[in-house]
Amino acid sequence: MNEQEVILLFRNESTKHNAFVQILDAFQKRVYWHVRRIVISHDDADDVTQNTFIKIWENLENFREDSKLYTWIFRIATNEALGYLNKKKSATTSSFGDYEHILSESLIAGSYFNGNAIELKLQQAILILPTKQRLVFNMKYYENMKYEDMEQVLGTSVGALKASYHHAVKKIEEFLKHD
Amino acid sequence: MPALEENRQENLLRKTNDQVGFTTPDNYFDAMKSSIIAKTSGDKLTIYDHQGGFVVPELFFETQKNKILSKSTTSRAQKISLSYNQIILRVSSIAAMITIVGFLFLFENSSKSPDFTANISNEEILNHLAKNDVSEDLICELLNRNKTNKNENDIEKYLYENADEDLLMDNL
Repeated sequence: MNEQEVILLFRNESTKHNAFVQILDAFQKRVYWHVRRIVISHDDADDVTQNTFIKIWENLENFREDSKLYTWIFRIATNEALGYLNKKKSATTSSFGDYEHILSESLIAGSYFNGNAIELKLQQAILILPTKQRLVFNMKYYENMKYEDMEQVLGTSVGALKASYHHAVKKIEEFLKHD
Repeated sequence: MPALEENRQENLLRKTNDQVGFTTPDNYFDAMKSSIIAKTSGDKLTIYDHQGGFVVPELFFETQKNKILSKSTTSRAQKISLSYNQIILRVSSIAAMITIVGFLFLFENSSKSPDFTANISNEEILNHLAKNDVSEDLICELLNRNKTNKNENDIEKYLYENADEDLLMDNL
């Protein structure tokens, strides 16, 4: 079933629930991992993913279909995750760097990270990046998202996204070499 | 091309090549997954959902899916009940507004209501009272009230004309 058919089903009250279940099956894991890489903590990612799907449920009827359903969903997820992160930042620390350090520490101390030394180092390197570069790197490296889709999600031009990815890779390489 | 990107592409290529020409027993991966899960059941982690070192609790996605579905149903119910409440609230507010405006309008009108006696002259009132056998004291009182605006000459003239002369002399 394609996107348009699912959206049509969602707009019909009798098939709305089934359509939503299909959307959930198709996107739940991808959204979770996308959010998890932004907020790092499993519990936070769980909350944000749930909020994202509740927003999808509440707003899909108004979806204008001028973008792909997939990019629309990822845009909601990204905004929810960044909003959540900002709230946490302002609640726990006064500066941006401090909170990234807390996140980095939580990788070691947290219950839901069991990567090897290289994976841990890579995640720590990703956490030193500015937010936009971190998003672009994760979406390209882990999710293999096309730049054109990323443009829809982040509202940034393809050229700027490519530059961001390039800078992110350079910074990570530097981090891995010197640390 | 950055070294990181090259490594990633090499890994992807290796994954694809490994599958060429090699076979595994039926359901091998399912059995392997169960075996690994059983071995790691102490910390309740599932290898299947392992992404760059991040893991999730066992059966997490099933639980989360149920939570989302239950929340979405609740959200709809809340939305409906909220809209009913909103309708009731709006209707009550409008009714209250109409009542307040109505009271204000009536109050304003009643305070501005014309004095119907204003157009009736005192003479007419006195005639009416006289015709209807109203007590003389009351008429006198009204007459006196009516004449309070008279000047001293008028009063003196009235007294000369109407009062008993002896009584008048005594008082003067």
